[in-house]
Amino acid sequence: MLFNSLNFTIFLPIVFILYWFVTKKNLRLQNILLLVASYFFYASWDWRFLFLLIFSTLLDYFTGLKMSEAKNKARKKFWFWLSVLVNLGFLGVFKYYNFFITSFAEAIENIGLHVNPWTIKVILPVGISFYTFHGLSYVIDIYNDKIKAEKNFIDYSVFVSFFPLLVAGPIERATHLLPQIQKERVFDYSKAIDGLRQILWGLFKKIVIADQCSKYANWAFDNSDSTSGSNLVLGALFFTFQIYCDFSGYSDIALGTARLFGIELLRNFAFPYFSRDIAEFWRRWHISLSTWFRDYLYIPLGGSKGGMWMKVRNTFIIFLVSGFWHGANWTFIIWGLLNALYIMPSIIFKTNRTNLDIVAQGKYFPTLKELLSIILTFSLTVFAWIFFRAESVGDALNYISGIVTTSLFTFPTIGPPLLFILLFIFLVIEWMEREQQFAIARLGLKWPKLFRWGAYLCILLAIFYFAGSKQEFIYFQF
Amino acid sequence: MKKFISQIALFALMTTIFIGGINLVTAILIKKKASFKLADNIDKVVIGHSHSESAYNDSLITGMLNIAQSGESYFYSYYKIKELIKQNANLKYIFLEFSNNQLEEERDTWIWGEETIAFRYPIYSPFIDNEGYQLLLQKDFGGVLNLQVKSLMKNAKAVVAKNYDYLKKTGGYVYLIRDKTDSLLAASSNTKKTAPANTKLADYNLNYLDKIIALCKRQNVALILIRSPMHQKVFNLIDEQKFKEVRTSRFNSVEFLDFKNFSLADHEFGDFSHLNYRGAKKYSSFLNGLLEKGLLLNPNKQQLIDSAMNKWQNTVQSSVGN
Repeated sequence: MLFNSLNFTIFLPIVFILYWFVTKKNLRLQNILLLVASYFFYASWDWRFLFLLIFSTLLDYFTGLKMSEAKNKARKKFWFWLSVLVNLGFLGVFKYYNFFITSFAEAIENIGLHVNPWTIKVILPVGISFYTFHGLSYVIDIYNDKIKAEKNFIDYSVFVSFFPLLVAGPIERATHLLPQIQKERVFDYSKAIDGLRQILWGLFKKIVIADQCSKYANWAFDNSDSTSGSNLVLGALFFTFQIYCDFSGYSDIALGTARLFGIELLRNFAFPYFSRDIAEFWRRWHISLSTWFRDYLYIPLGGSKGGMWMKVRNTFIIFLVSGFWHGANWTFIIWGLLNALYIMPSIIFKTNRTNLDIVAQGKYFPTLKELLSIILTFSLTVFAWIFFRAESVGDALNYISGIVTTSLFTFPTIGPPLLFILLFIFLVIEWMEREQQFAIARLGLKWPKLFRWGAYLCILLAIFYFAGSKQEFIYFQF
Repeated sequence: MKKFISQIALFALMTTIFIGGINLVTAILIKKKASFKLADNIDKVVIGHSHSESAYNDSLITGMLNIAQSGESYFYSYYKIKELIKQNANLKYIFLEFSNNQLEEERDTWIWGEETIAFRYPIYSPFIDNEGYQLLLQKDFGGVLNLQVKSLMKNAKAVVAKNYDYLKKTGGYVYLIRDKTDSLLAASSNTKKTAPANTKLADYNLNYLDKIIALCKRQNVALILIRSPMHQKVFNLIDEQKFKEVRTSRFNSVEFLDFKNFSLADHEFGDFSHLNYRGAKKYSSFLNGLLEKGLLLNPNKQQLIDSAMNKWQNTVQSSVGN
């Protein structure tokens, strides 16, 4: 069930009404309802995946309890590793097995031997990377005595499978979400309205910007052999906006939906394309994943405590793992590697925490230096996205070599003027509201109601106008 | 909570009234002003999908207008024909494409399929009746809902620009330049493909053909089903036996003119199912000749066509031989 589908438009109000009216604000009933709704939501993709989700939930729930009850460190360690290995095992089998086995076979062939790798035909369960990371953060936190194991199975299951975040995050932490699930929720009018605004903006980003950009980005990547360098540059730019609006649009809908149920999820994006350096970009892009890797990989590896070499090594590790997390393809690994290289100068010269504030805070325009930094950072990310989007490293290299030709200086022929106008309006709104949680969080709040509603209606009309074929969100595949 | 529900309900109501209201007003205006008016010298039209769209060069056929359009199902043809008959007392003959692929179940999706409906619904929405709406809503409720804004924009644009020429919007001859037959022949295997025995029929599409037949009968307009030329290598899921079976059992009361085997060279086809401009030129001139010889008044039309096609083939062969 896609967020941008009619099914979800029916599903959401039904769950909302049952949640606030039928359960009569009984916390236990509300959580049971959320769990049933979440399982229904997940099963609507493929009911067979539900067994995997339930198994993963049971595994982490029981190992969590066992760790809490363990009388000695060794026992605790045993349950911890059991959970980690089974979780990663599932992820490995479903997501990475074929990649490893075929890469191994190719490597063997390079030294003159021939093997017939045994690959498996299996569909990647939707959201497996996300709920596996939910579960892992939970067991790691218990192991490190940061939290106590949750005894209430329903509450824990809602934490893992709460439908707004189930298939593409944000990747939540037990310390943040579980207390909210266990606390009585009171309906808050302003939060609910805020949630609806965020859903509206998420849908706008997904349907009006991402889906429209995707047509031309796909065209450019499919015709990279035969089209001009200028078209390829535009294609890469369209993909840059597509991936941002697709994923952050999803996150906006997820956060907005959760807010309707009185639950606050972690913020996942903070206007990353206005970043002044790559370190800032990574503090603003897919925040829940970056912080996950920081807390559960970078810091346990020693973080920045062991001197420069350790810092550089650990940075490379988290970016490579982050790239690999996105998919079993060398393209993602190269993408991760590129980002590690981009961030390296700021790690070495210790400038990675220079830009912690919001760019041009309180001003309409950035300074020239800020503008140039934003353009440079943006260009670097556009270049890295080429690898992320390409089917193979070879395709990415062909794409780049297609750009570096004299045809780069010809007039591009892809993308209708309307799309450029929409992108301009979108960027202006995002820039104006970059100090808020999302772009239309405060837009028009001080206007007369008629104008404010008029603005919402315009956004809604644009969504309906461009809502043609329902396209899946890119991050579902991860 | 009460405030939240009332605000949401109010916003939803206002949005519905706004979209619905503008849609209704523009639809009424368009229905009233849309022009399907044929020129005085036109008494024949050809309607259908891409086969006819590219096959009938109407500049070469006296008194005929080609208003076929790629991917058009009988559903949309029905509403087009309804308006044409209403506005044109001089319209005597409607040639309607009836070829194998229009019988395939897949053609039903040309009524409500995602891509087709997105293109056609905004144009045809003012003309679709309750029964048509019921079918569309039943098959793609979400699609119809989404398309309200698209049709609002399209209709409002037409009203503002006073562009009511619906003949242009709903079809026309397409001068097809492509010539892919050689590459298709090279790619096709020598083994003859057999149509699966259990191919299902496009029930909804054919129901609308029934409605077109009934409409033309009521309005005393001669409806002629016509099959445009196809390459001999064309593969149809509905094979000749099944095609004949459907035609004779269900549509025998309607005149059927078959030009499927009209002889053309490979380079006169755009692909196995479509004539390119060269093929269209030859075929249209040939048809015009037949029409001028009084084909439509002849009681044995197919016989006349077959013998003319044989003569044509002999002429072509002898010219190739020379």
